[in-house]
This record gives sequence, C-alpha cells and structure tokens, in this order.
Amino acid sequence: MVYIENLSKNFGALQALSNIHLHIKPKQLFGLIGPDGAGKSTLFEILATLRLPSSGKATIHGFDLQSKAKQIRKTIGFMPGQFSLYPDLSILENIQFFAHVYGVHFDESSPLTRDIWQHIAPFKHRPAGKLSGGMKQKLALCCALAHRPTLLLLDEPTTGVDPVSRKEFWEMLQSLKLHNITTLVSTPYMDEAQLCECIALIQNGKILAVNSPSGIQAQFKFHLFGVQSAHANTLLKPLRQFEKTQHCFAFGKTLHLTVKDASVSENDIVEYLKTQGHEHVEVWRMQAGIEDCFIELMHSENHERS
Amino acid sequence: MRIVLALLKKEFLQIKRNTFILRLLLLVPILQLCILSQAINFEMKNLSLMLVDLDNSSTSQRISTKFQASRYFLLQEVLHSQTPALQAMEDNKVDVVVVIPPHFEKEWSLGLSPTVALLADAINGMKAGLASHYASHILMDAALELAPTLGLPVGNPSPPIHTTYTLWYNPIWEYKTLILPGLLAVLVTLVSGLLAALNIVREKEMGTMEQLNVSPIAKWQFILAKLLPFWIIGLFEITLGLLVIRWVFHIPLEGNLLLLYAFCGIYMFLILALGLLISNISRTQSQAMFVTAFFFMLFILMSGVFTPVESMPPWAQTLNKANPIAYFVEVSRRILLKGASFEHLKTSFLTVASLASLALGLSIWRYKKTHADA
Repeated sequence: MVYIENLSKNFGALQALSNIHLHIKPKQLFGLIGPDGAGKSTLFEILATLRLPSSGKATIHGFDLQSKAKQIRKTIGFMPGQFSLYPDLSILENIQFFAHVYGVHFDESSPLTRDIWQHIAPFKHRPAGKLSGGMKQKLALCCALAHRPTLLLLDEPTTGVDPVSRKEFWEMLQSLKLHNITTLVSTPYMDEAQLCECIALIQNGKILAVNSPSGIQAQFKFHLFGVQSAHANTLLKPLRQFEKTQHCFAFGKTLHLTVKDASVSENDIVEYLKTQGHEHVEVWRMQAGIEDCFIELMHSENHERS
Repeated sequence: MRIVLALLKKEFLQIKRNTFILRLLLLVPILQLCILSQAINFEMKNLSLMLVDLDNSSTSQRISTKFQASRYFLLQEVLHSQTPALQAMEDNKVDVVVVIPPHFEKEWSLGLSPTVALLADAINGMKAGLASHYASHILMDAALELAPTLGLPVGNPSPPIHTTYTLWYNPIWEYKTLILPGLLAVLVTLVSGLLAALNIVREKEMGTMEQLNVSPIAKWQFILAKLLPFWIIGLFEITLGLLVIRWVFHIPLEGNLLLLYAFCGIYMFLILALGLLISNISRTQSQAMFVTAFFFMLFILMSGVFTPVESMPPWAQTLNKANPIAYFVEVSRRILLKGASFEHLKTSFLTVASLASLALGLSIWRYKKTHADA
C-alpha cells in the first residue's frame, strides 16, 4: 500500500525527517506517534504530494510519489492538522464541493460515510465556521472520505478535541477498515496509540520503532514499578538518585520507575525510600505502556547520539 | 468541466455570502464614478483677478468691464497702485494681476503699442498657463472692439491670419465626456484586480488551498474557476457604469457597444490574470494588497485619464505600452466618443489579447500544487 524508503527532508540546515523507512499494509490502521515537532506533519505533507522529499522515495499503490502525483491524488483523502474547510459554506456545501472536485457526487447513504454523516447531518445547513471542535473534525473526516479514497491521511485529527468526541472519532476510524480503507493517523496522545493496529514512534525526524502496540510493549527491556504516596512529588528526587534506577518520571500522581536489574523487588524500593525518610509508600510492579516505551526508546536514542 | 462548475458554484456562494464584497463590487465603483466625475475638472473657472489701473481712462475702464463679464475670472478689485496687488498675490489671495500702465489710452490712440503686464501665480503651472491664455484672449478681444472708438483703423492690429476652430467629438468642451469612460475603466480595474489578487492568497491563509492542492484539480481548471466569477462581475459593473454615464450624465454613447464589450472581455482577462498572478506569488493578503497597490497606482496615474499620455517623456510612453489601463482608456474613449471601428483599434485589441494570454499563462505556470522549498 504505502512504501517509504530512506526518505529524508531538510529545510535548510534543519533536518525534519531522516532516513524514514515505513511499510503500511492495506486496510491497516497505522498510527504515527510522536511529540510536537517530531516531523509527523512534514511526513504527511510529503505523502499528500504537497511537498517533495529531499531524498529517498515513496510509493502509494505502487505509484511513485514524485512522478505519479496525479494518480496518487485521486486515491488519497487528506485531513491536515489545522481545520481547513470553508467556514462560510455549510456542512453540506463543504462536503458536496469536495466530492465534486474529485468528480464524484456525494451520496448521503453511502455505507462509507453513513455513520459519520449521521453525526453531523442534524447541522447540515450550519456554516462550518460555527461548529464545535469535535464537529469540525467529523466534518473534515467526512470531506476527506467524500470521494471514496483508499488511503486516508489524518494529521493529528484529535488534537484539541474533547474526550467524548475523541472516542467517537476513533470508533469511526476503526470501522473504516470494513470499507477497505488504509488509514495513516498521527497523534501526540499515547493512549490513542493502543487503538492502532500498528504504530511507529517518531522523534526528531527519526523512526524509533515500528510494531503493534503490544509488540512495542513486549520490546520493553527493563522492569517497571509504579510508586505512589501522599507526597509523590517529593519522591522524584530520591528515586532518581537510587543506584538501581534507569529513569523515573511522574505520570499524573504515579511515578514510573524503570529499573535495569531484574533482581530488584518492590520491597527493595520501599526500604530504600525509608532510608531517605519517606514512609507510607506504595510500590507495585507494572506493565509498560506505550509512553514508557517511548521514553525508554528516546533515552537510548539520545544516549547513542551522545 | 464538472470540476470547474463545482469550483464556480463555490466561488459564487462565497461571494453571495460576503455582503462586504458585494457592496464593494456594486456600490463603490458607481459611487466613486459620481463623486470623482463631479470633483475633477480641468477647466479653470473663477480664477481670482486684480486689475491695477494706472491709466484711469475710459479705455482702461472698458477693459475692466470685459474682465468682469468673463466667466473665467472673478474680478476682485480694481486698484490704482501696484504694491497692494503684488502683496495680495504674495498672500495667495489672487491668481492673476493685470497691470494697465499710465498713459495707456493716449499711447494707443497715437498708434504706439503700449504694453499691458500680465502677472500669474505659477505655483500651479497648469492654472497659470490657462489663466494667462484666457486673459490675453480677453485683452485681444478688447483691443479689436475698442480700436474704432479711438479712431484707429479697424482690423489694423488684428493678426494677419485668422484662425477658426471647431471642437470635434466633444463639441462643448465638456470635461466629463473625456474623463468618465476613463474613470469607469480605472474603478472597475481597481476593484476586480484587487479582489482577484486577494482571492487565492485567502485560500492559502485559511488552509483550504492545501485541500485543493491534494485534489486532482488541474492548474488551468483552478485558475479558470477563480477568474470567471470576477470576469462576469466586472462586465456587469461596466454595464452598470455605462448606464450611469448615459442616463445620469447624459453623455451620448456613440460607438459600437458590442465592440466595446469585446474589448472589455479581453481586458478583464488581462486584469484578473494579473491579480491572480500576484495572488499566487504572495504568501499573505497584506502582501498581495501592497503589490497590487504598487502596480495599479502606476498603471492608473500613467494611463492618460488624468494627464495626456502624449505629454509624457518618451521612456514613459514606451513603458505605457505594457499598461493595460492606458489601452482601456484609449479604446473606450475612441469607441464611446468617436465611434471608432475595429479596423481603427486592431493594434490595441491584439496587444491586450497577447498581454492577457501572457498573464494567464504566467499565473497558471506560477501556481504550484507542491511547495517549491529546498
């Protein structure tokens, strides 16, 4: 479906993407996970034929990105990171316009868009500029699907959207698989990564890992403990000084402590904290989440570089 | 074609929804046409004049009556000393001072040629030129009329060659007749050119440009769809303007209107293609606005609406060969006032048509669906 080989992009001295290799299989829901500035949007723009790569190549449906851009444009639906529909046109006018531009007539009962259309149809005569954030994103998704593409490129579709709309949005994405649509979606939210079939972690223009979410978690080489107490923030400093500690970060009220040595037990940590004067501490073993893996990979990447 | 239609429908919907643009398109040019045509007038009337009569004879008094009767001059005062008149000119209170020297009547009746001094404030060169021209006309008239009363042979001081003139195409020397077609051209050009220049760049600012760029729209389809709505509106504006010229200002539209519309059609393509070219090059609306203002200002001031092209230096006249508005002003005047035929205007038609295709080609070429960064 999508093959990206050794793709690099630089803006002057800034290396936005370096040596990207990716392979996205048909009908896959593929997540591109990384913080702001990691290069996600640049990669999307290149795949959407809006920018040319500095080097390397990519093919979509077997069409080369640079020489066969015209053929590619017919088969992709692109939803940019920033809302970009006509605010002065109504929902229906926007969708009809984007369908017509592809020479297609928008069909309200098309199975592909029927579910999404049901969400926004009650407001179909409202100008797009007057919709809520979640509605706007659903409309944008509907516009991107109006011409029945086979590859959907969604750049941070849920950024700045409320949790309920986010959940609905992801449910829509998951149902698209039934309609033979391959989806590449980027997000800075690690919890959304779990909802993808395959994810690529990206940081500083480099792919750190590509695998299924569970595969990424299985690759976690260390041992993870959760640490909690009434004064969790005061524990961060002593835990980072603990000789067995690989790294330690706060995730909400819980501290995630990564340890290299398999022999370290919950009790060792409680005892150590006691010597530091911290009582009533709760420690338990935990399964690494995507975010733990990301931090771990980021650290080893930085380590290699230095 | 279906894609172009979809784009056209969208453009018209957006124009319809935007009441500001609607007002700008329909009201502003007509309003400006009415205001400017009333305000701008190159004919000099009511020039203030002082007469210094150092002769105090019946002849000098008759000359003074002549000036009083003239529709060009407002005779402020008749003085008998030169100093206060010169002071008044210094203080900007008077435009022209006519000095009749002492013993004027006597010298004249003796057959000598006495000199009348004509002083004009030349801060405004054109005004001074016209004022002295009008004043000498009145003096010559007076001389012809007064000669017999002084016993001088009639016709003796008159010039050996008598010129007579007829004003063609503008018989009553009405300035509005000359300026209105040109003004209409300038106003329609300004509004539609600016709107075209702001249009594509607005899509860039909104981000909708990216959505269009990832679609399979061909470049020519996009430019054509952007151009046609303003083309239609531009021609509609010209029609509205011509109606105002005909029925509000009662200026006869002599020529072949079909020929004029054919020219307007080609001309609007040129202006809109230039606007879209600017829009394609610019990154923000303010950038597009400044670039448009720069070029259109040059085009307008050099177009010949306000000053005759023939009086410009040769290099400026050469530069004007690439000035769309200059062609429009010339062609519209010649068709509307002179009733010129296609044969007379062939060169202008062909030049504007080739400029239009050049601008259109450039704007399609400059429209890039993929960012051209390094």
